[in-house]
Amino acid sequence: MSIHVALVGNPNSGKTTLFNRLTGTRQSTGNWPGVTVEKKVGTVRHSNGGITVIDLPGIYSLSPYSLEETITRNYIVDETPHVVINIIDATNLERNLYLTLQLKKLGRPMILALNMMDEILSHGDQLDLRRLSELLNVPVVAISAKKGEGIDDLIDTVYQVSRSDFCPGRGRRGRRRFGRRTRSACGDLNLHCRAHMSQYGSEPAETTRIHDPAVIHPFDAETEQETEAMYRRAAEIHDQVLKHSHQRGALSRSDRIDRVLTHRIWSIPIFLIVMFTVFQITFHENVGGRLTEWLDIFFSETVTSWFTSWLTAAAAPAWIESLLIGGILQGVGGILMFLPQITLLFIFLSVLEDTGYMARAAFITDKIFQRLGLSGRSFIPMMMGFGCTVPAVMAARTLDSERDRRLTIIITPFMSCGARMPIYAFIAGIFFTNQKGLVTFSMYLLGIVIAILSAFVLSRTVLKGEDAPFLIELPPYRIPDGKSLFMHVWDKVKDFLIRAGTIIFAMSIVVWFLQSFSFSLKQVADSASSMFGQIGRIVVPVLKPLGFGSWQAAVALLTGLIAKESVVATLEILFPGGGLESVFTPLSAYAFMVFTLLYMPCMAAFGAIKREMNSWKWTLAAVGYQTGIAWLMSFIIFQAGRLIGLG
Amino acid sequence: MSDDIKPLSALKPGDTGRIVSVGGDRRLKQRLIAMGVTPEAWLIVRKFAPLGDPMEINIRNYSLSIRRKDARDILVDTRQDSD
Repeated sequence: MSIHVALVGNPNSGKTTLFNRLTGTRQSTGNWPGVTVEKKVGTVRHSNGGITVIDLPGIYSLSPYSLEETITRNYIVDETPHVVINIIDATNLERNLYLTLQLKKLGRPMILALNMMDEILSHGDQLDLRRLSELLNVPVVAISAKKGEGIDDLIDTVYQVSRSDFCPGRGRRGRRRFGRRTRSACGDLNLHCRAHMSQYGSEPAETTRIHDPAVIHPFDAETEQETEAMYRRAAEIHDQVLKHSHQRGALSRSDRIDRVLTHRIWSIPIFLIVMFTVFQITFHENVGGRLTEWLDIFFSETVTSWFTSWLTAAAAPAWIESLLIGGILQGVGGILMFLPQITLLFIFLSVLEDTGYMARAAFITDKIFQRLGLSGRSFIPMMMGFGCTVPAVMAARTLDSERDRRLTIIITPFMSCGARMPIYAFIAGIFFTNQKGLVTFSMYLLGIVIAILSAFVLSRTVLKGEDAPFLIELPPYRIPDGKSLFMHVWDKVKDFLIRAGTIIFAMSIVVWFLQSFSFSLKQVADSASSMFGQIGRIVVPVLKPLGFGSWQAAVALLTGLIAKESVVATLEILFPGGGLESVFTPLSAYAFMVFTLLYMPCMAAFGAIKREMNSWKWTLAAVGYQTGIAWLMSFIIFQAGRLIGLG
Repeated sequence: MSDDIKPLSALKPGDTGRIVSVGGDRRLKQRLIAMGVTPEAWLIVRKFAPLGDPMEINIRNYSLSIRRKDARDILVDTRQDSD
């Protein structure tokens, strides 16, 4: 049978890196039942039989104050994994040991995986592993998750510890799990067990305090004293096992880097340069833009000619050619060509996160967020919003107060997500060929400005209240691990590819059908008389004042509700050889981009908002607000532009 | 209260001390204590963010960013002790 291992550790302890090391690509991602905290499960292949590893959320403490902590605690208590691997950052031993001491009280067999041991050695510090193991009464394995050192040792230890766990009769839990007959039949196992236990003795397990996720444990004087006592113990152990080569409070390498990166004066220009560079590389016509151009040529010329010659050879009917080339290839190809730029964006976001710079960015900009009535923690969901609104909205969960959460969820969709990028690239490519980069950048900037203004206004009106405490760890700067980076980016890219292959694929067929046939199911020569033309005309009056009152623009926006990329797919299908100029002027095209930036996010994001808000009223208010702002901004831009003679 | 005991928010970069007590509202206190900001812990103030807030402290060998407002109720004994 497979051994179940739970992986527990502080944020920034290298937990995800270890998980990737252990399981490679044999992972699956899902959610914990009923909540949107990510649950990752993977398997380790080994000649001794498989190991199933569950990656539990990164937490600082087990006292259930937050959902993540409660999930971890309940998993260990209820699911009784055979082994708990507690990964700790050896360079941050004292604080990490606090969680270790709490975990030990849950009574599951445990292994301490001491990560970043290479850093300890390179600092010239001395860490007494044997003493640590004795003091804690658990096996200790030194590893470097990033370099993949010590992983085999860790797996061997898992087997050793798990074998001893199968002994019945150990503690109350054992008696509950096994009947009397099983227990006596396993007598020989017990021997092995006792031998093991004398080596790593077990303390009585604290299994009574199981909490309902909905109930937050009250923080009383007793828990406070308990916590303080545990930290005292952690400090004692730390002092006994670790000899620092440097003096207390001495500047570390990260502190020296921070002298520049969080400098009183330089930090802000550096922050702006970093962000600007990321966008330039991703969107500049000679870098990310060039890659997209190549793919565009590949799809619109190479692949199209393959299909055409293949269809001609097969003597396929005209409508099949129209469906394949005019529908699917236009739609799906129109999206796939943006793959390189989206990949670049995700690589940058992951690098910023993994190096530790993202936390500094939050540190530098927190004052601004404070002024806006937001917690600096909103920075992370908002940055993630540049990637995809769905995980960004989910990340708002890490905020402590309901008010901050709601506010962040409402404004995060204004951060221009990866799916909206193709729209700007496509439209700017037609109407603003010379200022493509600038026009795209202005969209991102406008999204940020609207988000900031919304936060400012909403936090002083409908969402008044105290902002939550803002405590974040500034983790040491580290060079990102290539494998973890790859896995992370691949996860997102895979998601994008799956969407292109499913939603966009299906949408392209639907769009092709709706624009090729009339309601009486006759194929039409002019798509204006198609079903789409009819539907679009209903929405047109609302869009007229915004400058793009054509049925094509209307249906593109409607299909954008399924997935924002569909706006491009639809326009590509409706204007196969170009000709967008017949329904847009540069000014109305700009207003159209503004509208797509700000209006209600796609269905997937809508679903995420609904789950996180846990209220229809707030969900509808949020998307209503977003669409209202979109209309208003497009209106202002178009009408003002016309007044000064741009239109 | 002796002159040596000050709220964390009143300390300057480079100042060191030992925490005497952690106050404030329950939610803040929970978070602080879970992250190792407990009585007896030694800390050093590293710097303030460019816009004047939050502050960065080093406690239990790691760096923590905390807003001045949230540091008001943490009392620190700034007398230098031998250890």
